[in-house]
Amino acid sequence: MSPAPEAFLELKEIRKVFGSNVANDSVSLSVQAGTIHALVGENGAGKSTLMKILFGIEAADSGEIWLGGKRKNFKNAIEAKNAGLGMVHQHFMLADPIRAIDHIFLEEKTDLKLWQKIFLPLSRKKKIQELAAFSESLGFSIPWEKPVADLSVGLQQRLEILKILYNQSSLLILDEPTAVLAPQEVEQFFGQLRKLKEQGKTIVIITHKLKEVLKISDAVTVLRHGKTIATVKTSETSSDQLAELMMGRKPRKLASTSLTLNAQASPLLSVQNLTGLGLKNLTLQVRPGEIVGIAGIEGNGQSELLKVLNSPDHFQHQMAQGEIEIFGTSAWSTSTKSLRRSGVRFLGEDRIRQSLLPQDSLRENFYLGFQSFSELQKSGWVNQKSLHEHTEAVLNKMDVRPRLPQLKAGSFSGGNQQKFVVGRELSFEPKLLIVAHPSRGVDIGAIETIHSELSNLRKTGAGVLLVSSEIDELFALSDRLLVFNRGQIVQEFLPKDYDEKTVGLWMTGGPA
Amino acid sequence: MRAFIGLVVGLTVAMSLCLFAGENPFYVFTVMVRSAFGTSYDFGLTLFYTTSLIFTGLAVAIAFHGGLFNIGAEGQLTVATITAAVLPLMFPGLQGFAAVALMVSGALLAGFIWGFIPGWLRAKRDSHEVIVTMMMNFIAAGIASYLALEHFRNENSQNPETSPVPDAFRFASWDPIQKMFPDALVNFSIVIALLLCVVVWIFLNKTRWGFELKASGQNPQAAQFAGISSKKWQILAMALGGFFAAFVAINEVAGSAGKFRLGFSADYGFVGIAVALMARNHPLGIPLTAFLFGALQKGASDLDLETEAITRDFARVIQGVLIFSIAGFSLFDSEAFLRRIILPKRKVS
Repeated sequence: MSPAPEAFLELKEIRKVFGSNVANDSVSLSVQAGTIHALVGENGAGKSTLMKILFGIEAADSGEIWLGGKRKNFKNAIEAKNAGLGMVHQHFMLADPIRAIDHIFLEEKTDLKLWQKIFLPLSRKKKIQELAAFSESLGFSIPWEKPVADLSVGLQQRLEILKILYNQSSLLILDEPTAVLAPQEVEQFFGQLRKLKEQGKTIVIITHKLKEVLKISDAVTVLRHGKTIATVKTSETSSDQLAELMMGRKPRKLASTSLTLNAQASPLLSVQNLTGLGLKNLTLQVRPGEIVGIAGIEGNGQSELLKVLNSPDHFQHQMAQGEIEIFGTSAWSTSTKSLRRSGVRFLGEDRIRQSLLPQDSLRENFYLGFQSFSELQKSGWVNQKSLHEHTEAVLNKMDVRPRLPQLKAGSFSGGNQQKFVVGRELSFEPKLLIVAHPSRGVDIGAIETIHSELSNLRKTGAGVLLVSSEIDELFALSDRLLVFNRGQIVQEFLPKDYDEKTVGLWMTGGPA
Repeated sequence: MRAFIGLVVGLTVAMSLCLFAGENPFYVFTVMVRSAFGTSYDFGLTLFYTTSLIFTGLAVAIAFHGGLFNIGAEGQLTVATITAAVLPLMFPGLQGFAAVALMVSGALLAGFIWGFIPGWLRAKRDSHEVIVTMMMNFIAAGIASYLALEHFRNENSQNPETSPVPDAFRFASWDPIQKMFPDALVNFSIVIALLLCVVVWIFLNKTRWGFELKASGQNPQAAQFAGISSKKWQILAMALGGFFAAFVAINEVAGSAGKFRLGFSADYGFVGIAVALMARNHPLGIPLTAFLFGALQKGASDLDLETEAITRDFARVIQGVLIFSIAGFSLFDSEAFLRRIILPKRKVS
């Protein structure tokens, strides 16, 4: 039996079991040529596994893959790439020390002979011009000569996308591609996707953002618990219907808890005229019971601010001027350790690199950051029992799946890792939480949990500094919104003035 | 299990090499087993090698946990041993506890410093620890032979070695292990070695500092972010490596020879790398792998005497083949390999 002729990609009854965990239980997906097809589902619904199977990274236990009317069974990603598949993974596949441009060289399809490749670096200049022109046409600009380690997360993702686009793949698979793009950039990016569609490319986009699904896709397939729940035409569905299909229940509305601020209360965090490391004259305050949001396109100083706040003692000498006060006292000589002990919590931009020990169990990961807390250790001896209990409490509270504290952190899905680290940082009554992208890569249900935990925190009188690239998240949570551009705060908004267009405009430098 | 398959494969390859060399492989095999386990004297010597290999295995493993590669255990044990041999000669009058305390603390401190330096250079100057420790191995060898030959040479011996230390600095009189294996060199140090493995295991798995060390090794950035000084732990992991390697001095000077002999180390520092790797840096696995390598070391030593074709060098070839295949198989993902062989047949056109 051959598939309907117009189906470009057809996955039939794919099944994949990991140990006792059924990741894919008879998943079918049919994508028409020249369309944009969205694949949605909660964390752990089996989206990533499905794409890994398609890409030859994992082997399916059973099921069939048809591409362009032919049965395929890729043994590895190289075969898949050669067949015209391109994928941007949620966790970037980039090598830190290697320059951006060399990643393009590395994966470029070429008919050159080996000896010709040796001389490729000579034509680097020409190549960079070519690439610059290509990326400008997409509205992306990337410092091609810099090693990946020096690029912000946002730039890294753009590099990944460019890599695929440049390779002229006929089927693009994008796993959470817009996670780190600003609203305007998302628009631009979608424009580019539409252009690609006109050129006859087929695109599969995996995302949690239903708004984007409705905006860009032609058809949507919903997965839940490893099964295909439905495939619908985008024009015939709504955000509510999709959310319900994904979760199997109606979504809750987050009760907006606008509260009257005590303007007299002394700030928990106060930054004055901070200058250096690309920051210019930064002044901001976080008061008790307040969530202060920071909006901005990645690479406009947010990373630097987070770094300095995390270990003021390390960066003291790199800052030209300014003052940081935490809980009313100057923090310049304070280490991360004493900050954490006094009730400050951090969640960095890069979950895996900054917040996890992927090869250790969740239990050990819970300990990370709380090494000196007397709840978990006594004069150096780790209290395993208490550690286990606290870890389990986080798993329950944040609904981390599977609920196994002894499992390696690295074997959890990205969304579950995120839920875990957020839950960890909320442990032991934080007074000030400095958090970046708390809901990056997690599903609707988990966003609900994370958001309600953050706004609960505010009720306890704690303060939150929230850096995010999600406008919706910032609007939903922030009591005040500061917009960053080139290391400066260019505008401040109060909830009554929240408007995507205006804020987006300020993010890109303000009205001309 | 995999390691066992490796052992079998390695033995097969090694034995067929013997066949090519013109020896009866079964005879060679018998000689090796007899030489390692034949008499209580042989077994005692095997345990003696095992002891030193446990220490160097721990020295390499602790550095690995801290994210560093310590190939300097050889130099660290050399400076420790020369210190242990020389200090008693400088203070020959000491008795009882003071004697032991001086020698042991001196040796351990020397090893600690020899590990601290590359750790410090790595943390502060980003000099790669592999290069630095390798260089420091040569420096250690130079210092040791200078002291042994120019200042503390044993005038009553033809061998390049230091004068023996006074009896107050040695185990012999009370050591129960030596009484169990008379003349076999194995001594009380093996008990220290086994205890040390347990201590290191507890340190790594039950204490806050062990956690901080491992976290710094696995993800320095995350550790730093969580308020752990990963640089400090880099330095300490390496220094602790030197500290553990330094225990070899106790096995050698207090426990057996009673002096520093040039070339006394049967490459303990380097074999320690294999010991640690095969045990996957698990402190409680190290005694087992150290025992395996100790037996190989002892087993191969008699081949030279008892066979025609197999020289000392050839015995090392046999050792090498065994190490290679055991290590290869224990790290080898046989499942993935099988899948790769079988998959093409399942492919549908």
